[in-house]
This record gives sequence, structure tokens and C-alpha cells, in this order.
Amino acid sequence: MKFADFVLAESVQASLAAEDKDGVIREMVQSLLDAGGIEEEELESIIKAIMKREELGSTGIGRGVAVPHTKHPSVDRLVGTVGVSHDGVDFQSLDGEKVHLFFLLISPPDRPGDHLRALENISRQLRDDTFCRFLKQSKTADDIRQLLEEADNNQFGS
Amino acid sequence: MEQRPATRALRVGIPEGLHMRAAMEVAKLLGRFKSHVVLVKEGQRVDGCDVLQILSLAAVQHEELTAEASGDQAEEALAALAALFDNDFAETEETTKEKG
Repeated sequence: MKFADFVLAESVQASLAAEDKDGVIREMVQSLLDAGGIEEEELESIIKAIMKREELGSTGIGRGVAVPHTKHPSVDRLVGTVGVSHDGVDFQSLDGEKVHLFFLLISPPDRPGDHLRALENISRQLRDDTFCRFLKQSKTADDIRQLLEEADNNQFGS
Repeated sequence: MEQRPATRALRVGIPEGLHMRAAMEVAKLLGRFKSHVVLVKEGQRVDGCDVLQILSLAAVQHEELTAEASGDQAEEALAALAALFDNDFAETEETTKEKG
């Protein structure tokens, strides 16, 4: 699976304003709403579901990366977005470091395979230090879109 | 002379596949042992203590992996790992508590 298969290009954000976990999740879900990826009446329910998943254990997986996610019946396909926080956010990560790179995923409950393949793509790209560095240095949404496109064309990762 | 690694076949039982929380449980568990454990799926080899690497396996339900453990505590690490897979990653104190 490629980024283009699940990341809504119009939703990516090169400088997240939120300074805490709840705020980042809300900001990113709102960006999916603004990009037409989710329904307005589902906004609060989706945010709540993602926060509930975080309570089971932070999705801050270390190396300055977090992948907040949830299943939600209101989406009929996997939708995701990417956000960068230049100051970093305390996300209670495994390694205790602040998170700068966020990949947020919402998947239909009956499609666990798609969710896994999206995680596979994200994790494979993140193993490449150059990809991480460039993503962190992104100044505009266009920078992020270009980087994701390059990743989809196998210019990073193993 | 270096010993051959101990190996154990593992099968993913949960419908979600080896998802993030499961991968974190694997990495956390293996981090407690001195042994170095490599997970193998169809020739792809990853460090069992690295969540990102485990996720890059994208192991779906019913898929089989092989764990290869070397060094001290190899057998103990494999036994604990097999128990985690057999119990569908639900047997740690934390998740049991959270599931209520």
C-alpha cells in the first residue's frame, strides 16, 4: 500500500499548532474533515475513539513518531493524514521523547488488512533516516505531499 | 564456536493481525531478555525488539513467523514469546486490566 492510497493530500499539515496530545489529535481529525475525508457529525465520535485507543497505550512508537488511529464504522475506506509539529508534542511515547511526526489513521472495522498494510508502509518509510529528516524539515504542505510522492516512488526505505 | 540460534514457529491468531499494540507487546516482552531475537516472515528478518521493524512485516491473521533467538536466555525468550502469541497478546497485566 502507498501513501497515496490512504493519505488525503489536502489534509496534510506542515506545522501543527496544537501543543498537547488531545489538541494534535483534534487538529488532525479536523483536517480530515476539511479535506472531505470524514463526515462532520462524526468528528467528535472519531476524536473520542482515537483518544480511547491512546488510553490503551500511547501510539508514540519512538524516534519522534506517533501513529494515532482507530477503527470507525463511519468510514468505508482507510483514510489518513500526516502532520508535522516543529516544536514537538509530549505524547507519552515509548522512549519518552517528544513527537514531531504524526500519521493518523481511521479504518473501517472490517478491513484490518488495509490498516496493517498502511502501518507497514509507514514503518518501512520511517526506518529510513533521510525520509524522517526531510519530513521533519517540511515547511509547507506541498513539501510533505512531494515527499510522500517520492516515498511512493520508492525513493526511500528498504 | 557460535551456537546455532534456537527457533520457534509462531502463528498470528488475532483477526487484526500483528497490529501496533501487539507489536509493542512483543518488543516490550523481548526487551526483558538478554537473548537477541529475530522475527522472520518469508525471508524478511526483523529485530524483535523494534516496533517499527515488527510492523513492517504486516503479518495478517493466520500467517506464520519464525522466531530465532541467540545468546543467553534464548529458550526463555522463545517460550515467553510463544505464550504471548498463543494468548493472542492479551495476557499482560496491563491489557488484562484495561479490558476489565
